Amino acid sequence: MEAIKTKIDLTRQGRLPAEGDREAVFEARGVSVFYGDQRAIDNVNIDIYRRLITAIIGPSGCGKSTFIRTLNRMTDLVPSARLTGELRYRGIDLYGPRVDAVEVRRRIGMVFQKPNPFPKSIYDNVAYGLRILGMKKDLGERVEKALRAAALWDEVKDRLKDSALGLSGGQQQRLCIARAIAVEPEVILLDEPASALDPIATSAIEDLMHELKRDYTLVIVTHNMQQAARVADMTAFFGLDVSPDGNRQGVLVEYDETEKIFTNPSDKRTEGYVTGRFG
Amino acid sequence: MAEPVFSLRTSGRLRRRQLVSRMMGALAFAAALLAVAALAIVVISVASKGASALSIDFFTKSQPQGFQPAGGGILFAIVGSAVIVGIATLIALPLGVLVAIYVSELAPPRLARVARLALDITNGIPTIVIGIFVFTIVAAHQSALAGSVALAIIMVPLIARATEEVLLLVPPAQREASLALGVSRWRTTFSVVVPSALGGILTGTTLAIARAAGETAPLLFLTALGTTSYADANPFHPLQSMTFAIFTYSDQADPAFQAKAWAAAFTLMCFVLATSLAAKLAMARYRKKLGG
Repeated sequence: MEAIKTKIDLTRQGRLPAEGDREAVFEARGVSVFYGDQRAIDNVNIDIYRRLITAIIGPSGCGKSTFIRTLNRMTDLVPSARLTGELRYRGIDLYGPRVDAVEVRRRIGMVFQKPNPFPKSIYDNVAYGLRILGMKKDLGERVEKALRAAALWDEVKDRLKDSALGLSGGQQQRLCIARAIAVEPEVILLDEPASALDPIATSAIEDLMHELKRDYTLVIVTHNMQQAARVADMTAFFGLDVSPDGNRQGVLVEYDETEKIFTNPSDKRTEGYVTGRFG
Repeated sequence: MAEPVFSLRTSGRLRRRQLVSRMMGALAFAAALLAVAALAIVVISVASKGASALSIDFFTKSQPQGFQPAGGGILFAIVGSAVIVGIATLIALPLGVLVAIYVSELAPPRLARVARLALDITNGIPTIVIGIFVFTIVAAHQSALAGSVALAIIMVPLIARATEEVLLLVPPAQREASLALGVSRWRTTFSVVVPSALGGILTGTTLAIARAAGETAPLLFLTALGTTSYADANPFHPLQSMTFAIFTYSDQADPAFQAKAWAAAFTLMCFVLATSLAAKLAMARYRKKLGG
């Protein structure tokens, strides 16, 4: 416990707005997700706040990725996936009858575990979404702005026409972040964005997240607890629950300020996980 | 140093296994050699028999009417083949690619299986049946256009299956990346998936073109038999074609005509080989560009 406590950067936690001043962007009420008959996550209730970094941690198979993918309806891509309960984004039911998943994803961007740049040039990767979504005015400036925001501009400004596939893994991931922020989303979801990267590239991504927090709401799924402790304002701990019928499902065990989760968790399961006693 | 008490040399069962292994290796090599040799023999014999009749006139003059052996060439057979296959490609390429996109990207799995089966069955239909079908049901009279329709029916399953295979090779992460930006499925398919698969689509199309250029049966009724005009390029008329030129030339008793048949066969073969090679080269260049 002591070891982890010291690794938390308390100065960052100090800027966390008081509970009453936080504005909920996502409100999940009794959200369960099914793949066919299999329940993947059960009865999740959580508020995710504006312009904070919310980390989702937990052991493998606890539904972290499934949950983050419900937030921009990427779960729609799995034909058997089904959601029950209510998930509101700024007051609108995300799974309501007249909601268009394409519009949802335009506002809520996503960065994936493995960097997935298109096999196009660096410039075209960032310009891709802008062109298709009709944001063609000042295209060059928008691309530069996004690359600067993703802390990649200085490294690539002289070779924008080169293939994105020639970049290192860390640069590719920052390019993916640039591509996501270029279309000016409101929220950026990051699904284990650094798990395929080395420590230096990871550190660059984490620094970047602190920068991005000023303008965006960030939700990050991570396996790495130190990473959650370093970057997140709020932390949600998902655990595995075996129901009486033998179904293994993810549940939200505890959700609180990161400092609280890592230093004084209310739930024994959280404490066991963050202190490394199980996982 | 003491003599070792064991040997590391082969003996007994291992020796037998090694023998079998070597024999199987040799057999596989022989089979591969045979396949290559078959191609080589065909190419060499066609080239040696056809080369003597090749001349500038052969490519630049049209076939004289009434079968005078001297002079004349296959110009309008080449033109006819180009027109017929060209129009067939214009019909089959978009259709085949769209079918492939439907099957691999949009169709529910069960429907996709049915569509795949239908494509494979179409691919297996004897081409003369397709010719009869188009001649009696689709087209009321002979024309190159009708021949193109018949060839397009042959090409669509080839292009669709080849395209589908390369579409499946495009990593799902690429689709996710685009969809996560708020780009619709159709836009994602056309701006990310299809460009990534372009090389494969090109190769599939080239193979289909090569196959169509070599087809004789479906063209027999549609454009060739009873063709009276030997110098024509109008797709609404029945036109000459390469394969039919080979067919009619080789049917003649005069050795001069038979030499022309070989020469025409050589020309067609060169076209097919060149197209295939060009497709491979284009694909290699495309891959390199993507690989960065």
